[in-house]
Amino acid sequence: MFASINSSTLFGIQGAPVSVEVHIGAGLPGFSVVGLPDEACREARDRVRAALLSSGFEWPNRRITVNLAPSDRRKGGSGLDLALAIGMLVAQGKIDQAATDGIGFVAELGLDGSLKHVSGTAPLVAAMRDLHVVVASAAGGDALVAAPRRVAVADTLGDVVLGLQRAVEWRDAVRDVAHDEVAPTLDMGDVRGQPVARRAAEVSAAGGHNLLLVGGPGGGKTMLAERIPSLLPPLDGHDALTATMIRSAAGQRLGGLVRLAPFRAPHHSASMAAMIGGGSGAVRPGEVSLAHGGVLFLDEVGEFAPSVLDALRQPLESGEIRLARSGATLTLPARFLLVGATNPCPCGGGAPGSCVCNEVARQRYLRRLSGPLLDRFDLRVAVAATSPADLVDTGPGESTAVMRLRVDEARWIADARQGKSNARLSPSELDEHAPLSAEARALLLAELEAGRLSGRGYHRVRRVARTLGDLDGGGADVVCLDHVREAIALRARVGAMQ
Amino acid sequence: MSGHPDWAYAAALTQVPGCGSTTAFRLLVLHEPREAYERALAEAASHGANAQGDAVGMMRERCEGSGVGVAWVRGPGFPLVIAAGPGPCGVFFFRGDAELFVGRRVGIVGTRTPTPSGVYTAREIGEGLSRAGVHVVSGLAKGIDGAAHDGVRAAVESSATTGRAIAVVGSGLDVVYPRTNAALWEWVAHHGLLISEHPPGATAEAHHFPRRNRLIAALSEVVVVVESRESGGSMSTVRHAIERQRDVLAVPGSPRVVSAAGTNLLIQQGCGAVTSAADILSVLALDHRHIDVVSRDERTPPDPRDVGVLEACSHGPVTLDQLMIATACTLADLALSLGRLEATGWVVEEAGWWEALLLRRGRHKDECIS
Repeated sequence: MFASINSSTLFGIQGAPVSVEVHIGAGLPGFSVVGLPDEACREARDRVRAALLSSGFEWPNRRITVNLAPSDRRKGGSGLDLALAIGMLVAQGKIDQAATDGIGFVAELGLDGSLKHVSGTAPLVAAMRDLHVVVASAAGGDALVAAPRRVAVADTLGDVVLGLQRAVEWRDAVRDVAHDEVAPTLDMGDVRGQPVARRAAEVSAAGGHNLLLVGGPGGGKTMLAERIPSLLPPLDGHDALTATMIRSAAGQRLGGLVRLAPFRAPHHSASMAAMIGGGSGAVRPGEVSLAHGGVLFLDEVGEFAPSVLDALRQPLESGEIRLARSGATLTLPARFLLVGATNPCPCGGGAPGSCVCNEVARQRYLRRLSGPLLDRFDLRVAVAATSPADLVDTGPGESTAVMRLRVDEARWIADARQGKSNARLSPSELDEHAPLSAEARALLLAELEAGRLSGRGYHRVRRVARTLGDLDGGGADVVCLDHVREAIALRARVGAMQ
Repeated sequence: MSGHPDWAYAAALTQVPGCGSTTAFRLLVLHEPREAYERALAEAASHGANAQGDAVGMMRERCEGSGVGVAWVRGPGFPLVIAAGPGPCGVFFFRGDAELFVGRRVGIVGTRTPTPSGVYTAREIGEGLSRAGVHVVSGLAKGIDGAAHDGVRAAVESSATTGRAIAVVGSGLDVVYPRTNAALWEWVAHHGLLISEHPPGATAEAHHFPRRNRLIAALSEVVVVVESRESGGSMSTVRHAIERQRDVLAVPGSPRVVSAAGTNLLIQQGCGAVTSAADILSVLALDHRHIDVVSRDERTPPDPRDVGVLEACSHGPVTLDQLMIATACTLADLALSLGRLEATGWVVEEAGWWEALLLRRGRHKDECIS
């Protein structure tokens, strides 16, 4: 009359074990679910009932109570369907309780009794790592990524029951090669005749510096931004696992651990929930989390809603995003390289003096650009379309492979010195790890006194200069004049910013 | 309705419904201000508009409260250059030194969105004219207008010159527009002359500015356009100037710069081309030699290593990318060169675009490198 079945539910990008307890007893016929189920959970009743009947089982005409334990946290999603159906069968004595011990179930049921893939299979399975896990055939690849003791797959509820009754052998899951990561074919060599923009991309990748590209349409801003992930190192260990869980929680299918640095380019109409994550009940990871370990590219950055841009400040500072919901406060990882692109004004005029915007529109545009978020771009580069002659005459630029060598070297040097990227150095760490040569100090002082550099800009220039030094082989501990000069040159004055 | 001075009636006339500047001009030429005001009121009443309270007294309070003076066509010190010509002006408000109407006056106008070199040119011309004792008339708009008066301010603050700023604006004299020029606005009111056709409290409306432009043209002996688009507001100033037989001069620009298209067109149509304050002084038949003496190019000559870079940014604004390709320098060398050139005032940067400033006031053309 009673059954308890292992399953799990999703909180953000982490699964949490849930026991689905089913009790069938005397009383007025009915069905109730307790333990803070969300709408998809409540609907499970109808799916489970239809699936059981379609699979040739009975729906008992008695009082049925389902508890989702622990009962103090909100449960979401349809992944509990299969556990609920098995619980019904165990409670009716069709299956031994002992047969289900040590097995976790994660799958949605179709009305015909078929098993379906559930978003977030990887973290859901990860929560039951010590168990055998049964999932839908389609979700086998995702479940394997979470590396539980064993993953068995089945196509229908009937198959699962036969497996539990030891009437047939379980089928093992196989890796889902169809969803293997494919290395992008974009190569930095395609970017021709823009040596400074290329250099900025390299510096950005090497030091983790946020990059703003300013230029009219057709200047190749997007082309460059798309190629920056190829300069980033592959995700390792913990980051790879995190990125994998994020993707799975967002509903993407997996072939294996996510290794390639992601590239996310949300449209400027993106809502707050789409950008930082959210939704009612089950929190879905947003673009900032999907870009974890890779590049978040905001094209037309001035067109994004100001509130959405403001929300980026927390992840930019701390590398994670905290979402407070009625049930709980969730922290999702969100450490990304921010690459922005913008026109210099609404008409995209390009060179100074060629703009045809009216004054009010121009000012409004510039005001958006000068917000506190835009101050977080260490690198700001004007990009103009390559002239036809340069496009034809210059050969392909340096390839990604060559640039990657320097980037990896610089990252290694920074890591060995301070254990973090240069962009994350605090002012006091700057003094320790990026001391200035006498000439460089004099130059920065002069720039500050002339008002060409703000206090905030001063630290940013020093960080970029540190990265430039590392890219040059990093022989010198001291940041020299050349690097400071170059860092200042890579920081174009946009709008009212300095 | 009694006991108000003449100027208060003249001022109140600007607020009678249906009484535009042409009507006001006709009435004030023919009658004393009080009589003119009453006639205008009667005319308005015949069209159904009612007088509201003591409009004259209120206007008087406003003007006295904000330190604004009123000049009308038959009143003391009214400059007849404004009265003459199409679209006459019968009454205007002012703050500052009304004596400045006596003296040589040059108008400097141009686009609100200039190139950096346009801004520098306007500033230099303003400074040079001021040093030569010529007043600079402009509109206090963003861009060229403000830069010209900024140059006057630099000259006045650094030496005892007599050339001052005269600004004609499109709003009431206590309504600063644009806000970005607030400091300059107050400076002109204290050290120069601020003029408006609109009573204190009037906000800046788009249709005020074309009419404001006719006063700039009327008050200037010569109008200099520093940078203008083909259909810019400056071109309306040029039309007003031509209607009044004022000379129009233009500063030539690169044909690739949109904001110089209007000035280049003017030159093609026969306007005189000027590049410095000295050129304008010679048009005014003034001795311009002494301004060369007081203001020569004080920049240190560019470092020989930097000449190539300077040359590469001397054909209009360029990005770092274009500079690197043109000069075949490394970014580090380029950055060092640009840093030196910027510190010595040879190049300026705007939003990542670099431009050379080759010509400085007072330099002979054969002296400059190119």
